[in-house]
Amino acid sequence: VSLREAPEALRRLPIDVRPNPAETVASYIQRLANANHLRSGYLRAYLCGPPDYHGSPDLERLAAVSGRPVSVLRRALTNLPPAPPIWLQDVTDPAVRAVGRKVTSSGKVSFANREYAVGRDFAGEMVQVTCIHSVVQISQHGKLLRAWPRRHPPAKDASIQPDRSHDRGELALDQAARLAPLDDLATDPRVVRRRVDPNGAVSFAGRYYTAGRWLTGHVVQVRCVNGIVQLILDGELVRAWRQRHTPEREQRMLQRPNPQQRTANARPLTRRHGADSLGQQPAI
Amino acid sequence: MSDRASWQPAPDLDEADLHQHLTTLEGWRQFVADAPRPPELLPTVHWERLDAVDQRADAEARLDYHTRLTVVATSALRQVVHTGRRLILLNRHAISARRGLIVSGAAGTGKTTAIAQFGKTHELIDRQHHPGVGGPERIPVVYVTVPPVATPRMLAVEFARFLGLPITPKANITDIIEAVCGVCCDTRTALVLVDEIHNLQLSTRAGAEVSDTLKYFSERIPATFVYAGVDVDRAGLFAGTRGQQIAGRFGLIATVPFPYAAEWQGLVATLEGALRLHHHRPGTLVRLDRYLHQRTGGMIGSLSHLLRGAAIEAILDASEQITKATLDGVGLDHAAQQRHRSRARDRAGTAGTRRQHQAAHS
Repeated sequence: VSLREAPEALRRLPIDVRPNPAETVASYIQRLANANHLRSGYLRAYLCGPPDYHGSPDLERLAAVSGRPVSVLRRALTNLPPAPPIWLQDVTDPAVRAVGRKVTSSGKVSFANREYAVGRDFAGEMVQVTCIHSVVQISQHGKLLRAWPRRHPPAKDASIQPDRSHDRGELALDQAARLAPLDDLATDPRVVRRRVDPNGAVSFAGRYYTAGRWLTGHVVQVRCVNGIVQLILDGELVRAWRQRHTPEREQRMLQRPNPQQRTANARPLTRRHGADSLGQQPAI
Repeated sequence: MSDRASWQPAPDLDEADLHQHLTTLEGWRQFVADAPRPPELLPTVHWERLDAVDQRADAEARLDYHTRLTVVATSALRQVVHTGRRLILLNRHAISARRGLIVSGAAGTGKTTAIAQFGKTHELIDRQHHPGVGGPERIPVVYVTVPPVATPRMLAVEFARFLGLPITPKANITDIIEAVCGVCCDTRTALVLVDEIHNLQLSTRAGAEVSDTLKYFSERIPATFVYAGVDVDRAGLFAGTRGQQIAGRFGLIATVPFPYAAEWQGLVATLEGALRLHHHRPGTLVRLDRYLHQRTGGMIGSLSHLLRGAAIEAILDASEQITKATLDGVGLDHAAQQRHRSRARDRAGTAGTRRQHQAAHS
């Protein structure tokens, strides 16, 4: 291992600078450099990393020298490169050549244009599907759930694609619950209430997130944690989406809730506005 | 290895590692915060009733304790701390020509320990005066060592490395010095400890430039500078024009080997009291104080090494006590061994001469 390849120990800068909400990366690096009496171009080059110290600053290097976690920087800073699709990590193991699939509401998964049953109990959850020796195996967290004889032609194996629901930004419920647990739901100040519109969607920080038509008229809790927008009904996660709104828009929304939000917050949470057990006015 | 994978965040150093990294801010802060508590020495009856696993754990804790350097408030250490504190107060409102301190002496006389304890004392006092303003807002003490064959850039990089400022191969010395001075001023640095100053040779061009860089730092940073090195007065630090300037601003405290006197006996007694051995009889080492002085030549570093080595040996061989035989089995540094042999030869020669004289008279 040459000196150039030797691991470089990144250390925190001596003077701490807090990132401002919705601040650009360049602005934060500039303030960080000024506080530590460094030229901003020098610090920016250092954050790009060896060997060329050229290009765009590396977020993890910035986190190391600023002493702040990557998640905090992602929440505070704008114009950052998109987060890596961490929900795809489970399905990219080349050793077993497995792909991830989300179980449909009917308890099935689609694999090579054929459907294989898993069970309704797993509806909405992510499972791993692999085909070995003409047997389609469906597993979850390393535990085998079901196995079926191959129904698709062998030539289809090469064209099997990962779960397409990720392309739309939807997350499996078990993964979303694992990445952003609901433990602190009761005390989380970021939770807002939204009524599902006739199209089955809710508006959150200037973006629409689909809840499902079957929830039309329900008031659901919505929050954004770790880049995941969670839609919760009666304490249970019903849908989860990758964050599409900007952090500053969400912050503005939380600081100044609109009249609909204030009204929703003032009313008790009900499953359906016409079916309030207390016989009160419909929500919203 | 990919470029992105060629770096990693600084690993969390455990306490043992941090003691070896005084030249980084994190290591220095750990050293300042570190207050090792000696392990409780169980009564012998209880200790003998422990099962094998518990006895091993007890031995491991005591081994770890004896590997640490026990700091004894010697007269030299007290003098460095008192003089240094007085200088910091004197320099508080000085705008230039601040006074400094040089700690000089032979190897193993406790120079680094003295200035490190002085720095620790000052930082603790500073924290008391500014409670709640901790962390990166204040860096009251900077500790650097002069690298061998140093150049001005290497010295500036040492300062930057202590503070945690990023250094790339393209960094020029002007930018590094500017950043170091700016950060030190902003963080209210009041004490700069420069160790291994004997690596600085004023007779060479690079050494003279390093000396000028140090002087520039002392002009830019409103702090008291304390140097420590091996026999710097004889190594030419005060020679020439630059040396005269240093001599005019810096006081000198010489750390010398302890003479065989009451302080040495007190030192041995203090170190013996710090031992954690089950069968060791208190007073054994005090009775061997002359032997210890002959073995170590009065060097506190050698004495500490000898006693800690003997304590570890006593735990490992389960004897749990230090005797003269145990001490004989512990090897010392080459300088101490040489001194011991030459004195033994001198004694043997003196005794032989006496015998010859007595034989001639008879």
